[in-house]
Amino acid sequence: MDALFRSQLVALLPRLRRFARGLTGSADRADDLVQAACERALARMEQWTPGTRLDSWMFRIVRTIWIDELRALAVRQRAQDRQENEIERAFDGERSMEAHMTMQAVREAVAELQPDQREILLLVAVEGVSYKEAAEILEIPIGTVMSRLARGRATLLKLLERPRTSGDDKKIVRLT
Amino acid sequence: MQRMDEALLMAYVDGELDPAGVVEVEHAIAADPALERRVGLLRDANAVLRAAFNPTLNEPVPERLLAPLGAQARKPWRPGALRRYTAMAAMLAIAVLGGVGFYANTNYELPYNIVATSQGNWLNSIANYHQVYLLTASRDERLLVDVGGEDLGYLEDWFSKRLKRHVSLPNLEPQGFQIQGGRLMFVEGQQAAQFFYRAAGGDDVVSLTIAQTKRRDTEWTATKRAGLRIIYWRKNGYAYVITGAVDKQVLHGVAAGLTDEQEKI
Repeated sequence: MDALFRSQLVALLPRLRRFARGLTGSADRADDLVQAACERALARMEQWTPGTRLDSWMFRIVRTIWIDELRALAVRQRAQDRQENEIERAFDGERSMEAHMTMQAVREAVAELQPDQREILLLVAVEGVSYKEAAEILEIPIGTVMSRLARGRATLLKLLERPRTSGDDKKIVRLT
Repeated sequence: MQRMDEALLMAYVDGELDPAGVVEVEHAIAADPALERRVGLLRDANAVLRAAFNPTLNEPVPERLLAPLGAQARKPWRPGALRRYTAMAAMLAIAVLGGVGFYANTNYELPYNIVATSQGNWLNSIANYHQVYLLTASRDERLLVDVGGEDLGYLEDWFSKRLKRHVSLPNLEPQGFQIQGGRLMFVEGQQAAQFFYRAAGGDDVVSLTIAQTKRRDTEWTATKRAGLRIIYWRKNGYAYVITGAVDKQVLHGVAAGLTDEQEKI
């Protein structure tokens, strides 16, 4: 059980990191979050029922820890983190400035969403979980899943339609 | 648009509807270009989100996460593969944003690898699926497929059931291509299968798509979509599409090989 559980968890790490990256908007903070989630999962291994979805169980743990951290984070601290903009460095590579700005624009738009809209969009659109699974992970009714998803998508599309800036213009980050 | 319509469209795009719901939405889309654009936009929004966050999947997992689980870091990915992946993900993001711009009636150009699906064209869908599956080719260069090509008999059975017809996959080894597997997809609201072949010892990937169609039969036609060469024909209610980012001669060779076996497919 122990070895199987650990190996399944290892296989899930890339997806957990992707989910955490979307939630936190920061590579380092995402790995801190995944690390904390894995520690909690190992400590509570017996609470997971073999045969049920480990990914949903882990998404719930990641998300619960993140919500706790969000509550603890001072708004000022978040603003400072955003300016450091670790996202950009994490994805640096050989590609055109335009492509770079575009990918960056999407991640920034996601970071600007309300936390409840951001997590539902990441789960459904990026992680591909069903509405029912999302409702279980977030412990909300399925109707709420749909309404939050609709609001999140509408907001995201509006943010993406903004005129794109180029060069080194400082982005103004709106805190929600 | 009514609130309920939006919820229904969203559920459709997210694959949450039962077959009756899918049929209902597809009828509505067929009758209303505005709905079709809206669905295209919702799909594009999902695609752009995945493109923005998927690069994380390709990063090596840090030791500090692996060690507590008793695992070791794998060898880092080949930089070439990672660069190619990142560049394609970026292209997808730009193209989809272009699609958003298109919807918003602004003037972003779309010179990119992916054609905005909101423009609605069956070949665009097929070309986009081809690009997306190249994009998701994993680190060991396998393609993301529903059924792998190791067991050809199982692969053919699996798709024969889903396409409601016998599927016999052509052998392209004389042309230097080996079957990798197949992926189920939808073209114009109908189930379709896309089979991937990879050049032995090379990077070239071509796909053969078999899609049900209500369009009339047509002979071989060559065209280009989303940066890919395409040869297609339609016969007896099925469309056959061969595509790949390969030289003209290579694609023609593959198409010729397929034609030889066409009766069998």
